Amino acid sequence: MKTHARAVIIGGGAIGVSIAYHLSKYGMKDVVLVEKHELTSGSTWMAAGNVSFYHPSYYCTQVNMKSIEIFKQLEKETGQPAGWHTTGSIRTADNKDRMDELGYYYSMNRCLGLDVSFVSPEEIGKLHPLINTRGLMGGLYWPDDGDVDPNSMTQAMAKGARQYGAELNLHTLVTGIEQKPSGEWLVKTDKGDITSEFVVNAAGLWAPQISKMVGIEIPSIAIAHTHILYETIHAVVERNKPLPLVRDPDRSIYLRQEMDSLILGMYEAKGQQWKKEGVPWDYAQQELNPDIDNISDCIEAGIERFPILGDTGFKHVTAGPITYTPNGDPLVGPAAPLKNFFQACGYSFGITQAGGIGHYLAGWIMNGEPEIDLWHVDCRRFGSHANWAYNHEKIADVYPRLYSIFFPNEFRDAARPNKTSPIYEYQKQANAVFGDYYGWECPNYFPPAGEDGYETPSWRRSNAFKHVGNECRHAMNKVGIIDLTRFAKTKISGSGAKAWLNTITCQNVPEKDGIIALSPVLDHNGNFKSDMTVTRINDTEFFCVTASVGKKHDQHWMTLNLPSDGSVLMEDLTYKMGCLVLVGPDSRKVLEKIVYGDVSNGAFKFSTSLEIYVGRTKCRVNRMNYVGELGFEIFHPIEQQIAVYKALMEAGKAFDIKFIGMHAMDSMRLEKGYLAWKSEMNVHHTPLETNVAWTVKIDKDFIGKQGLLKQKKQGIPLKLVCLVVDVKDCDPWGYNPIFKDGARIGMTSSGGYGHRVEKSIALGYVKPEFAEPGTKMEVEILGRSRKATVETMPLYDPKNEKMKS
Amino acid sequence: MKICVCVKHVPDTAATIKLAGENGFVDTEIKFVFNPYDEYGVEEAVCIVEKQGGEVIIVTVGNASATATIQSALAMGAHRAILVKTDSQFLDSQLTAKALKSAMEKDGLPDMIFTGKGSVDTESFQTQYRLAGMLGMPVVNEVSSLILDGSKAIVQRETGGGEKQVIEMGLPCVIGATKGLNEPRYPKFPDIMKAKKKEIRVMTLPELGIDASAGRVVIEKLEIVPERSGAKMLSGSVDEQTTELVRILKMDEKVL
Amino acid sequence: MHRTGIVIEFENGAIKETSLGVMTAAKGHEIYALVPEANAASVKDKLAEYGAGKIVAISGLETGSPDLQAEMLAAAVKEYGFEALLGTAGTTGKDLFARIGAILDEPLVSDCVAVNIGEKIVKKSHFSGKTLATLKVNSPILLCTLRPNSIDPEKAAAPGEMIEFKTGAVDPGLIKIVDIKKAGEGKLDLTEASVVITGGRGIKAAENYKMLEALAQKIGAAVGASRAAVDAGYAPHSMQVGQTGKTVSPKLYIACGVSGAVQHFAGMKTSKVIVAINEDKDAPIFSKCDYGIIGDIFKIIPALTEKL
Repeated sequence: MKTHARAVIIGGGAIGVSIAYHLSKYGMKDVVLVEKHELTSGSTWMAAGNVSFYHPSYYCTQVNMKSIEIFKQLEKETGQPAGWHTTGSIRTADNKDRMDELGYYYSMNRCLGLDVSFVSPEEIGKLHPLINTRGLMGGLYWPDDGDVDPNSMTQAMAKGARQYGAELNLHTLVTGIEQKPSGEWLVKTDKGDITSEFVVNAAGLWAPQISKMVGIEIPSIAIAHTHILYETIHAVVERNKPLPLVRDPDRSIYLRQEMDSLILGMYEAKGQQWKKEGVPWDYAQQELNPDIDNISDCIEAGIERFPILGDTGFKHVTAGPITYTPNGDPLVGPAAPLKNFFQACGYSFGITQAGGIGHYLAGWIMNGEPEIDLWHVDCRRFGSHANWAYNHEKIADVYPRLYSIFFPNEFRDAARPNKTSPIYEYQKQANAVFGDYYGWECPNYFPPAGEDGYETPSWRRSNAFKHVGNECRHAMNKVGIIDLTRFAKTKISGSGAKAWLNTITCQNVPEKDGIIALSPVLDHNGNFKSDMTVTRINDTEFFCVTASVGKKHDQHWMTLNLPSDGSVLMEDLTYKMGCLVLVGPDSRKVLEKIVYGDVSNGAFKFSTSLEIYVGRTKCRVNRMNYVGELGFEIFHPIEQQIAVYKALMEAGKAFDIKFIGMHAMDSMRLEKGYLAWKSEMNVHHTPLETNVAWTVKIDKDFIGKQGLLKQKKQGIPLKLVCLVVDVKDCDPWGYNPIFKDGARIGMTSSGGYGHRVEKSIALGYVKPEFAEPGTKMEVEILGRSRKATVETMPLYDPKNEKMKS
Repeated sequence: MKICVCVKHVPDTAATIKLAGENGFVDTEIKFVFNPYDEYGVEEAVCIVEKQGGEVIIVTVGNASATATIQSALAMGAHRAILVKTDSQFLDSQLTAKALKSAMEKDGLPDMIFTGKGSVDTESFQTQYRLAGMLGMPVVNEVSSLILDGSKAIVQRETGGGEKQVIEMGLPCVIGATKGLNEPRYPKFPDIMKAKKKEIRVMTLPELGIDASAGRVVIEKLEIVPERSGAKMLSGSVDEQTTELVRILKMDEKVL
Repeated sequence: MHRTGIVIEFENGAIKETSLGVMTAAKGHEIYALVPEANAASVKDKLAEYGAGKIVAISGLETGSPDLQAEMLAAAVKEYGFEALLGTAGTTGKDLFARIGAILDEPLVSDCVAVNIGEKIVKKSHFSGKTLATLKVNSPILLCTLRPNSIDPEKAAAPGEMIEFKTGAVDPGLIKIVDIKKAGEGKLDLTEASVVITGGRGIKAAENYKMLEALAQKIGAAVGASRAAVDAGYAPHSMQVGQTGKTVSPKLYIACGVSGAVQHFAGMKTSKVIVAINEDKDAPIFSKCDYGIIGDIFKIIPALTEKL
């Protein structure tokens, strides 16, 4: 076994082997994989092997696409069969909401040019003669989906990895991981130690233990997943072409052909967590005792949909452990706050994604940036609250609902609350309907007392619509208070702080105290890394605010880029400071009543910051907001939040001050053309393509400059536009394909209804030639084409008169 | 016809056995299954009763979790079951036979008894003989074919090398079933659900006058047989490799 | 020195090699070889050569009735006061000893791999070869059959004094052997075969199984396939060995062009001897077999067939 490697991959399942295969294929030397038993002996051996393009995430769909591409060519490349079969797959719907969801997938898939079509119940019956179509409204059909033999595929990749020079060490148990002073990792095993630049944790069932070796707790717990292999079915034998995979999500089941029979799999109501405190190291490829009682509802549902199953015996019932995370998606990418330690674990649909994630993660490791935006699976998307116990509670809700309808406006109740603002109880009293953002309870909207405190999940305008409209109008006409305590807040200080910040953002760091600058953070290619606002406190101290959900991600990036000489200090203030935002034309009047100091427009200009007493509390007040009204972000010591809140409410009483929620804020930011992190601002776009191109100060040096220079030379491939869309009840949401004369010219990045301008709005990227205001095009929403027109941004208060008033 | 089928609940042959103490194993973490040879017995009994009428009774000596295997047998078409409860997977063969005999006597003696040819856990291959001896019934083991002719059973028993003895015996008798006797049916879901409603009569060893500690074969120690860890590789030309292999298989391993 | 009876088995009139091994297992004890009177004279010298102090020629033991044989041997146990009775755990021996155990109502341990007559301690496999159990038998007599070939025969000259024993038992018992069917031609059953030859993906085409069948016929083996081969359409599912196919446990398993997935091992790992032939030196099968040959199966199998 090698003692020095560039990358050590821990785990010889489908995921780990794929990463080893891809790293070595793309030219990395000294790739070493360690597996404590045999390849595939964790979860891979018992996986059903369904592989489809389907995934709720646009980017994960691309991971699946890559998998299928790889699985299809593996045998040709390695000489070892991967066991791929193209069978096609159907996802059925038996209700309108499900049809809407399929409509979303249909349109999102069309952004990627995938072959996907709606099929009627009759067509489903033709594609799968064993199905009983009663009750079905329709379905989606992907003709290129199929299945792969998880073991053959892993072995083929292993062979490929070896051919490209990777070393695969079986029966090698990792016993510890240490970081050397040089920053290199020392992976200790029972067969010797390996020094390595990179470590990838692809340890599947044991990933939590491996992660713990480097001090990181990850939310991943095994659940016994069950599938049933039926005895030989003559109708299957006699048919000489493969039956398509069918997923009937309304029954929480899948069914696919296996040899001359069928496999029925399910996500039952009570997922049985297995060895939740930690899977023993010596577990390997052992079937668990299946619990038929626990899955009988799903089996009955299977018989209802496929009557032949009622008359066919169980040949084998397989139950085996598969990992689950708080939202059913894996944990991938750089582990914060470490350097060169990557996670690739927590997979529940690991076979489907194995090929693709190997490709993308290899690129991420070797190039420093992912080729596609993988935020959806990024291990840093979970905050510190997402520990083992949280996951234990959460997945009890997640597992049975893996097939339930995905809605853009649904926030599930399980394992909540986690993080709350001190004024949480006041928000509750105000009838808040909360959303869950990075573990924070944050009000989405405030229906009047007595109204239903529950938002109906829907792809269309929900019962929240009119309340959100009222909140927007209130912000436009009066004064409102938005709780943004969850903001990620970082203090950057030290003698080198300013110079360093200037390398971190493309914007100039303010030269004067009390000035605020919108300061995009870019990656090495010039694409958006983070959305940051920098407030200069003084020459050596800066207050940086970024999106709440990106906290771990953004602070990780800063940490990795900090100079080693101690000239720049970084302090996390997120959990020390709260933030209440006062917005609306009357906000100054409210503030004036309780501050000690002058907050007039003359004394306190837009985009500046003041340290000032709000009531008894000394606050940092930024004249800045995300909704486009006159407004003040009041940052305060978190322990004094209630004091600040009470002062504001007392002073605001005369002005009819009201809470305003996230939905209203999102609606208003669309009207203002404000970008949202991971919607408009992701690794596929540079500021030059957007309305914040003005923040790019190309004559200074900063991370990403080379990428921007290159793009300036070549011209931007896409341009951000604001579209007004002609719809009645279903607004664009993002990932809607944009067509012009039948040709795909772009995709929306986000959308919604603008209550102040009374229009349905989408932000999106189109080819620059179509970006001129007035250009007509079509946006496809839930499978239906809608008329849209490019409008000048922003739609609301284009001269920013309100903000600056 | 009343037929009893003796069925054992055993660890799956694919399960990794972990030891517990000197002479036990961890039975809570592994998959248990229907002793595969017993399935042939159940299938045969059910087929006979389907043709001739009567009742198939599953008789199991085992712990509470053996209910899962009993239900599998009931799902194959057996009518009801008796569970003689014990705590140990390793009750010795004499006591097991005695327990089976007493349970059957209590329930009313059957016209035929099926067992499997052996159990895949302890591989003792004798309980059926002892049971037959205690009941004064004829017994044939490793039966791969059965014809019932009035009060006679004509069976075939494999004696190695593909040779078969054709044996006659009168009823009631004990038959140790093996592969070839039939193709056991795979239980269908509706039958599995029906099986859950069938009667399982529970008896205890003391109730049957049996002292579990009276076993005369005692497991003193259980050891894990290490898995193979790498092959002896044969090198040289094709001729050298094959010559050496033939020598090894014939002389060293004596498997040819 | 404990008085030990050994039940000797015959094949075509000659003592089976395995019975000599059982005598060796009782080395150092007072060995009584139990044989049918009809065979006694012809095997006397050989039994003496392998340690039989006494040869008990039992009148009528050659009977075709297993129950009567068991009665006679049980009578011999009582007559000579054996402290142990040993035999071979073949089909016949296992059956016979189980009957003797039932008649005497004494404990029996079947298919042992080691025996200590003095201590009445034996070792045997539990759980399909995954564990080895050490058993103590609390009984005046140790009844035990030994797994064939578990002990190599060693010569140990002894007097071989002939004793004749008439048991008086005549009752043929409750079962009657009415016919013996010789082994038929044709393919052997995979799960019961003592030798299995499996072709994996490396077999490359359905017709190439003929090559394996030629070898199989020569050594009385059954032919199986791996999942990959079945998946590729080279072999029917009925031939599949492994997790979703059949489980086999032969004395000898020869894997040809099989990569050796964990799923495949699940179906054959309890085989006594596993031989793997594969072109790919990294094939996982080599980490878990007994003998491996890196090479082209299309050259090695024909050469092997010729040599056997």
